[in-house]
Formats: sequence, C-alpha cells, structure tokens
Amino acid sequence: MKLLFNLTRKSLFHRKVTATLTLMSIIMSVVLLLGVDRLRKDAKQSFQNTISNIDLIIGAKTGPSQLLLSTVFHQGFPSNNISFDFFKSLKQRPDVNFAIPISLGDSHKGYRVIGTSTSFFEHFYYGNKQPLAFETGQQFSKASHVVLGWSVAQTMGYQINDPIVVSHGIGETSFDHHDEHPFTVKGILKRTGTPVDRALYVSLQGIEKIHLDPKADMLKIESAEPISITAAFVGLQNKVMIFNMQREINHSRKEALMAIIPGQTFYEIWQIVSIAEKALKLISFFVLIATLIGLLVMMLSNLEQRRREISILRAQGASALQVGLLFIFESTLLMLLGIVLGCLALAGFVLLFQNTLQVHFGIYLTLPWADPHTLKTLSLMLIAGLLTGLVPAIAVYRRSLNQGLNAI
Amino acid sequence: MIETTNLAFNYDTNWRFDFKDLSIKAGEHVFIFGQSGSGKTTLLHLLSGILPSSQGQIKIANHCISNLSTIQRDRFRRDHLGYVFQQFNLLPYLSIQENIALPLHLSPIKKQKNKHTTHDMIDRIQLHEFSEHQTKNLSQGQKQRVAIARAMMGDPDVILADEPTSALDDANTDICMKLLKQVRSTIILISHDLSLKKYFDRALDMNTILNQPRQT
Repeated sequence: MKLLFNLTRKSLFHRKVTATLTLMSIIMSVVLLLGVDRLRKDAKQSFQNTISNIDLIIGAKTGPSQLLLSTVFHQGFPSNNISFDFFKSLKQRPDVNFAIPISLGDSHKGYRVIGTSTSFFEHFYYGNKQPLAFETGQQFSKASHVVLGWSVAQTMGYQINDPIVVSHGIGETSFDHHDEHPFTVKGILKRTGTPVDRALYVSLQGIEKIHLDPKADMLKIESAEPISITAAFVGLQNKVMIFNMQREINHSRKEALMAIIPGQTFYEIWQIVSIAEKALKLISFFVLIATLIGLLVMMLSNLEQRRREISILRAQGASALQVGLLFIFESTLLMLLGIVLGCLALAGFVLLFQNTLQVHFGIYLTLPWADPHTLKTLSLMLIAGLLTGLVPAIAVYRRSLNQGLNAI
Repeated sequence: MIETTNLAFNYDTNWRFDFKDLSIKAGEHVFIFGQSGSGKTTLLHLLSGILPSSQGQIKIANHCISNLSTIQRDRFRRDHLGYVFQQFNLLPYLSIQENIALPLHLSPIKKQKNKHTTHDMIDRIQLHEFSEHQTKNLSQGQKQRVAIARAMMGDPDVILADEPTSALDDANTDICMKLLKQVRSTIILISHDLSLKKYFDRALDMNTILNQPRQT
C-alpha cells in the first residue's frame, strides 16, 4: 500500500500541469457547492433569526406577508395605520407583557427610518433570544436623537453626534428632505445580521417633529403623541393566549386590524421563497455532477497517456488490481486535496467578504465547518471521488498486459 | 529449466506461430536471433506469460505456466522473471534507485531471495552519483544499464531481454552485455543483431525454431 501511495504521489507530481488543473476544478466545485449551500442556509438562518420574542404583529388590515415584510424586513410599503389610542389600550391590557410601536414612512439615503419607543431596545430580540446591544452610544432620549443600525453606520461612516437629515418617503431616492429638523446620532447598534442593521431608529416624537412646522413649540413636541402608527410588536404574558388574542384582534369592530404570528407568516413566506432554495439545491447537485464528470474525463484521458507507465508496472509484476488501485488512490487523493483546499478557499472568501455581504445583502455568511450536513456532503464527494477512480481501474483490469506493451 | 512442447500462438485466424520444442538448461544464456516479424517478441511474451499460448505447454522452473490463470501468470512473472525491454521502460518519475528497487517492492519472494542491495547494484552499473536523480536525464546507455539492474534485482530464475541493445552504440552494448553476463539466472535474449552472439552459450535462429510457415 505504501508503495502504491508513493507511486500515486510521484506519478501525480510528474503530471503536475494536468493534476493542478483538475485540482483547481475540484477546488472551484467545492467552493461553489459549499458556497451555494452555505448561502442557502445562511439566507434562511438570517431570515428566521430576524425576530425572536415577538408573539404578535398588529397592523391595519392587509395581507399577512405584506405586514411582516414591511414592518420586520423593511420591504414593500405599509398599508394603513392603526390608531395610537388602540396602541395605548393594547399596552394597558393585563395579558400584554410589552408593546412596541412601529411607525414607518421616512427614510435616509435608502435606509428605512423607524419611529418607535425605547421599549424596542429592551424587548426586540433576534436570533436565539439575543437582545439588541449598543456598539457605541445609547438609546434615544430626545426627539432629535437617532440610533443607527450597524450596516448604516458602517456604510455611511457615521459616528456619534453626526447630524443626519431624514427624507420623506421610503423609496431609494427622495426629493423631500426634512432639512429643517436634523437628527443627531446618539447610538450605534451592534451587528445582528438582520434587517435591524439596515435601519435608523428615532422616537415617535421625532417622527412627529419632522412633519410639523419648524416654528412649532419644540418643548411640546418632546411630549407629543402621534395620532397613528404603522404597527405594534406585541409580547404576551402567556404564550397560550396568542391564538385567542389574534382571533380577538382580527374580529375587532372598532378598527380594521390584523394580528399575525410572525413564525407562522415566516413559514408561509419561506414556502414561496423555497422555490429559489430548491433551485440552489439543484445547482449544487449539478455542480457536483460536473466535478465528477471532469474528474472522470481527466482519469480516462490519463489512462491513455499512462499506458506506458501501466505496462511497465505490469511487466515488473504489479497486478492489475494494484495498478487499478493506483487510479482509485489518485482520484481519492485529488478529491481529498480538492476538498481541503476548497474548504480553505471558501473560508478565505467568507472572511474576506463577510462584511460586504452583511452590509449590502443582509446575509451573514458563517464558516462552513462543524456542520453535519457539510461534513456529509464532503464525505459523499470523497466517496464519489473514490468511485470515479473505479472506472479507469476496471478498464485497466480488463486490458491485457499485451495490449499495453504493444502500445509502448 | 525451460521447456516448451507443441507451443503455438494464433494472432488471428490467418496468422499463427508454431514453435518447435525448446529446452534450455538452468543458468544457460541463450541468444535467439531473427528478422523483424519473425516471432521473436511473441516467443518472449509467451515465455513470460504476457501472452497466453493458443496451444502446447511451457514449463519454467517446474511451473507449467500454460495452465495458469492470468492472475497466476502475473504472480509467476513477478516472482520468477526479470524483463529487459528495447525501450528501457523506466518510470520517469522515480529515481534510479527507486526504479531498480521496484521489483523488490512488488514481489515478496524476490525481496527474500535478493542478495544485492540497491546501492551495490547502482555501484555495479557505475551510476552511484546519480542514484537519487530521475531517469529522464540519463543517456540511452545509462538508462539501459538501469533497466538491466532492475531485471537483475531479486535474482530472478529467468531474465528475458527483448532487443536490449538496439538503441545503443557499440561501447554501451558491450557494457550492458557484460553486466548481463554477471548473473547466474537463465537468460534468453532476442535480437536481430548477430554481433551479440559472442556473449552467449548458445544461439538459436528463429527460422529453426518456427515449425511452420506463419501465414495459414
């Protein structure tokens, strides 16, 4: 075995150009295969991690997906508002643990500005019940304060006490800026890997302020209450009550309201998105097939090139089985090297582009190790590499020594 | 040591070699000469078990190789024969030392029987200073010396040599033949070069070995 392994190693080194090209194709395939898989999983994880301890989201009657996407993912436009009086009554209910107001409608250079209260920083959890934390500064205490999500601060290069002007509307571009009411950066949140990173947070009074006459009494504004808000994130005292309360809200006659359970709506949205997930899975599968075909083509073309070498070994006494094993060792060794180098290349890529992907796409890519599915995929690749070596090995076994010697 | 009886080989339906019975003693050095296409290489391949005979029997060192399966013939060749080719057939990615030691790694019997160390053998072919070098940079004569040393390793019962000097000049031919003469193994060397006759105990003309016209 040691001899065969040494022969494989030296023979591969002797054919270093072909071997390197094959190895590069395997590395690329491993990077693509694991990269696509990682992207698929991390996108799903980022999606699921967005919100963690909110039992109900209450908004004006609309589609559940629209309410979730607009309030949690900052995608699309919110429908009608709900009255602030309703929100106040909601907060006072004994079965409600906390209620976070959400007011949408303004933006800053394409990033959503969210009007909320300080309870947002206390009760909004993401991932596995992780609370929001501040990278620097603190939560807002005045109508002129703004707290930035991590990506906003990173991309725009904002620091504490920097002035920020908010624009009307939530489109990428706006021509209606609230220049007369600039905000001051009071705090920057730590990275969460969720849409929280890509938004700015001001108080409800701050939202009121920018829509008022600049000459209005600013002291009054600090304690002003809005007439309406976009939605409310609600946490209940007892989780058993979620469905009761949802039913109650959805049948409310005072106001056209809708309550959704985030987890349930997540699942419904993911069912739609899962077509893309399945497409990515399919791409991964074809990448693997293409790699194996490439490896097989290389092995079979080498079989012709290596006729002489094989015949010499056979004439010196190597059995057909031993020569066949050389091919199996070679394909397995190439696959093993490709997997190791491919994983390292992917890790390098992830470390290099982790921030960029997080800032621009909201996907926090994680390193591919220690994931049972990844290990299973890699083990299958290794076995497939070994089986690929079997094809030329069988061809060698079937070819008589005389055929080889005649070719010398 | 080597005996053939009614040996014949059919390449296809209209191309057949019929050989007269041969008897070669242990340790005898036999030279077989003949024109190209006269069946010399076929005879050598039959004796080595590379080709299975179509008819007749071959007995080498009390082994009837005609009755052996392909795998058994492979093992017999590995353990009892040494082979020298016209084109040297050294593995280019192995060093001189590794090429010479290759038969010992493949055959446990040769490893057990072997009386020479690889270094002794390299000394005998006078390539000591290149022992770690790959064979691709050697001259033709040096390559054939390495090939002969490889065939000698493990003291095989029989060394078969197929036109080993056809690519060599006279000086290198002489070196190689003297090297071969040092072994106690039975040697069968085939060539069209009649000048090699002087190095052997016996010379056989292919025309006298073949029984019948080749074309049927």
